[in-house]
Amino acid sequence: MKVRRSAAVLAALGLVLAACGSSSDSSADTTGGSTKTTDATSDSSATTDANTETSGGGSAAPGESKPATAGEGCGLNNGKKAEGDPIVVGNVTTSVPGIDFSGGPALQQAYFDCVNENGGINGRPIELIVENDNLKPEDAAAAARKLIESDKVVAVVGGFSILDCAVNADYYKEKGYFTIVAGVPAECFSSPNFAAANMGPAYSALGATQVIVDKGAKGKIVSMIPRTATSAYGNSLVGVYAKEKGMEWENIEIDVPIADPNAAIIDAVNRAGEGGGLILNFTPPEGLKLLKAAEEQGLIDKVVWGSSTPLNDNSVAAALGEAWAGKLNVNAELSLLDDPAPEMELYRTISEKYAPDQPLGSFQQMGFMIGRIIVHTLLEMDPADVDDPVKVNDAIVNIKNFNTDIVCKPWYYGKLDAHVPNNWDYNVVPNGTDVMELDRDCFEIAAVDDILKDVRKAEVEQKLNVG
Amino acid sequence: MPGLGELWPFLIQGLAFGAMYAMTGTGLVVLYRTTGVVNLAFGAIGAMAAHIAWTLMGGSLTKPIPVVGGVRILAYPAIVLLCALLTLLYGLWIAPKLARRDPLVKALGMLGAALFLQGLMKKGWDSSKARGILFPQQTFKLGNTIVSTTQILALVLSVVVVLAVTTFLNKTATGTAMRAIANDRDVSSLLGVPVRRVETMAWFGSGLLCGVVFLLLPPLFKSLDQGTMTYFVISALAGAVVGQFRSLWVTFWASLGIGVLESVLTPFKNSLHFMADYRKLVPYVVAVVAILWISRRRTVVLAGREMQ
Repeated sequence: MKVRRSAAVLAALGLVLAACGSSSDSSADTTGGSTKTTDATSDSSATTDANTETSGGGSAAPGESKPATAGEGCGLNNGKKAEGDPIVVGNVTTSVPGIDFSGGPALQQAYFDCVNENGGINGRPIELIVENDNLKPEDAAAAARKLIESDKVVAVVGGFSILDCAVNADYYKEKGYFTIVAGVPAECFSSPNFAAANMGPAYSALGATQVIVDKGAKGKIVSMIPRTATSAYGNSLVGVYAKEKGMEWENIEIDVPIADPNAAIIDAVNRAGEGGGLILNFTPPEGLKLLKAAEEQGLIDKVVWGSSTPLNDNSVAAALGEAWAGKLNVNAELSLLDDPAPEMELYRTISEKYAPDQPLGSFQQMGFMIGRIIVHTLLEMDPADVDDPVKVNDAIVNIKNFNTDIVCKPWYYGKLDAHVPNNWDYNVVPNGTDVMELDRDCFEIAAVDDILKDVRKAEVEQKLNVG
Repeated sequence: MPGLGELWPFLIQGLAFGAMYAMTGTGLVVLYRTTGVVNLAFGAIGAMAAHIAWTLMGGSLTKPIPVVGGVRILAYPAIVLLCALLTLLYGLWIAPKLARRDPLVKALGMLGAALFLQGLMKKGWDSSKARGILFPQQTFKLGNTIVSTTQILALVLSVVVVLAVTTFLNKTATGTAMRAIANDRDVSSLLGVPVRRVETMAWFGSGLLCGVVFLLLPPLFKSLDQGTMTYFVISALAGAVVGQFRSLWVTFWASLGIGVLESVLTPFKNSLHFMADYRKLVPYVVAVVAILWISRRRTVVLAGREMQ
């Protein structure tokens, strides 16, 4: 009996830890179950002046404090610790081996920690609950229902999920939640109830393709992406653009985690042919495997290399080293990581103070930016309304012209059938030592599909991002 | 159908990974024959040791693939030592408590240990970040492909390991004792074989093999991916299954074959593209076919004993 108990305890302990593990110091836990965190440890004092306008809100913040706008600091920025019942928001994020987006919510939490040390939402703390979908549709569906029906979140914001948009679009619509995400599947960019801080893998890979074609990729473009339920969408616009340019296109879906990177990259480069283009659509751990394998196999100069946003990560630049200096074109949906703009200063300060284990990277920027959007939206509302999901979501859908240093143009939500509010990009390249450096400033993503054509039209008609 | 020239680079990659399967399979077979335990934590233990070594090497977010020099070079042998110690720890602490249980319970014990270690890794080393360990190596051109000394070393070591373990089992007193325990644990014990001591040695030896594998595996993976390393053992099991958890040489050749087949299917295109898509299934297909072939004997296993 004793033996049986020991084995059962060991197995159970292993299962629990495997399910519940997370980054060591980050307070946002996305690796299993849920986490509620409202504590904070220090303050922040970066300053800037940018403006946010929400048309669905009520009064301004009470007392002497004014809500901080982009870069001015954390929330009310008054140095007073928030107290009382928390205002609860939540999201659904994917965190499994090979596809781990937990860095995004970690910086959203870091920003909330700073806000809670600086007056919170009119004195009350803001709390983040992150649910892991474990890359399973049933978990994604359960997570959304738990957040809304059990945790009673007032808003679903900051989710970094492969599945959330596809699985829960109808549910959010039914419940009247206007969700802010960092989206992956097509549904994140084609639904009235989702607006993303990013532009997603399809538009990002398209931006990278525009650059490598400009830089001389000829003949054939090969794109690579992890094999998931949403793979077909991820590189689809690469194909459309290649066709427009009279080039061949082939897409390779590959199982992750990639166990044989050498074989995978030799095959991809062979398919692209000498002088062709190769687009990678992977998270840093997987992308880095392929790039290091290409380096070992002497393939760097065989093709022109491009990547979607996730590889815009300084840890990737540090790992790549001199061999890749200037040779990997990474589409950056967000501003450069060492951009001196005030809001980016604030991001770096908060990252260092509240999430020191997180590298500076795109996912983290997005989490930070979404945190600022929701905090500012809540601060613009009548304090009596911030516990009412209907009023909070009304304020969210009416966000427009949210000025931020993190994306090229002001961010907005708006009442649209589909949202791609971030549709201008940068191009960055590894500098050969330790950072990604700017190669091309803000450029327009080619409107090769009907969604982006309609979005651009609505932006002009409704003055959604005129600043 | 790709030509031989096109397949050549994939053959090289496949031989290297097949060699890693072979060494892993050897470790699994030796431990199973001596203790009756299928070490499903082989990969998790190796991955944990590699992560600790990465930290000892000075790895960080700004140095995700640390260049090792000075005293930090000791982190390489530390991988082998840590693997041996972690495996031994399980062998001394948990395994005796399950010694008289069914093989299924023993395997579940190892699975629990693997998940426990994976949880610890995820806790300590955020899996969303890129990490790697370099192994000092040179590359040279062979035909139309680049070959690294790490790949050569993997192949050479796998042969050396199988030769050494076979010789050890056949020529030494401890090896004979291991084989005796493998044949019948109870009878061996009655005949005075120090079962506990021999089993401890088997655990330690299996751990050393795990260390050798994980010295080379991260450089071949180009990453310290927790999932890939933890579940590497599952693919490696196929070779051991073909060898019926008995023959080291059959395990060796089957593992090489699986590694090569898995790799050479990569460049198949057009109507044969499905072969590339499903190449990861090779170990499982081989294992299932082997099990079906072996089960022709209609052997039934009850409480760890074969009933003819």
